[in-house]
Amino acid sequence: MATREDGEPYTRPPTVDAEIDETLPTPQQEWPYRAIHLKSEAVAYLIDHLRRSSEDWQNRPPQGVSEHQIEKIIMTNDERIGHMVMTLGKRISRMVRRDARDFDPATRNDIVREVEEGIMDLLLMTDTSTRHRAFLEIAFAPFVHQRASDVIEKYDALQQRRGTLQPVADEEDDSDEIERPVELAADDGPGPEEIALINDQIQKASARVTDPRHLEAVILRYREGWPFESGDPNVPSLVRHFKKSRKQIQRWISEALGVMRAAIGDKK
Amino acid sequence: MSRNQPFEDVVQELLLEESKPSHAALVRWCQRYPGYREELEKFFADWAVDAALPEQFSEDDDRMAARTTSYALHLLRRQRAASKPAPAAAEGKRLSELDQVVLIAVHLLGGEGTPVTITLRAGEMVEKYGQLGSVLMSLDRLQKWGMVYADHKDSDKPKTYYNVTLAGQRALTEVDIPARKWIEGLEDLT
Repeated sequence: MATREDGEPYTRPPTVDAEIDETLPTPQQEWPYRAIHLKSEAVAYLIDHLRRSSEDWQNRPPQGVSEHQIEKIIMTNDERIGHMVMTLGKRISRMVRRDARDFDPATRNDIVREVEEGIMDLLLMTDTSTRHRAFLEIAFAPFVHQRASDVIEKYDALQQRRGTLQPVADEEDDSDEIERPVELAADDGPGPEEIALINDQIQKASARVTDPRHLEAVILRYREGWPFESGDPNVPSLVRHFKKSRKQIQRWISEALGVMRAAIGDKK
Repeated sequence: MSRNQPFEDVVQELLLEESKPSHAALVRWCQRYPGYREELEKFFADWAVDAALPEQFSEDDDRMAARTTSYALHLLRRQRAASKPAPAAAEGKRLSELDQVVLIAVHLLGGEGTPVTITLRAGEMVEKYGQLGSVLMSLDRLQKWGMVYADHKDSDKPKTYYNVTLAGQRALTEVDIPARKWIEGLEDLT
């Protein structure tokens, strides 16, 4: 394992180690199927394991094994790596697509592609910094979001230079609007009905909410208990996080809950 | 404690201590690392959403993942071919002028050269070598000597692309014909 700045070795979260320990003794042909249910950090480890195995077969072949046999082993490893990369690729795409939601679909695809290729370079290139590769096995999602944020910054700058930045339609300026009662997002926190709705049904209903920001606001507010605002500048709040007014975020939440309710109603 | 410690290290500590992205945990970590408040806020928000949403993938996700898989496999093959030790036949081999020109053409096309485009490029450098038949034979020789490798990229039409191996790059530094001037950045190889 690579080391931190203070010289201490990086350690994987115990849950990731447990998944790796459980998977390593199983037949390698099962790994691609297991990967679907494993944490991304564990999948990254398994991919690296197979990559290093192929490298050993190629560079230090044991005596008595023919070149043809070695090629076959490496090709089988590649096939398994391919399946596991597919699993990671879908997860990366899903995360980055959400991060790049303010871009048009073509640019969003470009951003996803750039992030995915960057992650693959790190995961598969032999001369990659071990520190970065290790991080993929420790905190995969944060690493992907960080990469996405770097790439998005680049595209933002590029579009601003070209003067083509077209932010998604945003109903932020609500000063002239008639104020509507925001019954579902009351100031003093969610009611039991809303909490039940979120905890039980968020996964079922989330696909119907079209704006990811609305869904994020619901999750942060109802699942994680973020306040709308905080008097303490060091305490994160929804207003500071989204850089929108409280009323705006309340409306997002109200709309998202309405859509989710309807979605669950459909299923009844 | 502020930004003296890289954020990656903070995240690692955090993941060892916290099992859920609750707001209480976020506040705790902001107090511990006030210099990283913004990064922590984004980290916890991403974590919460990733954890809450189901693993549902769109068609776009499937398509992008398929493309990434193809990229990853290509990367592995390219790396493997480049690190393959040169066959003994290549040791001390003095290349003919045609082979040198073809090797340069493959190098200039940066892995995107097919026999046809390599022939065109070779012909641009030295007119008499712009013949597909002799270029194919030269590619065959260079491949046998471990100086180039063929790559069958996934695309609609099956095409073979050629790239220079490490042994080929070493051979490029010894090119001694007028066509040498075509090699961009050859100095970097020496």
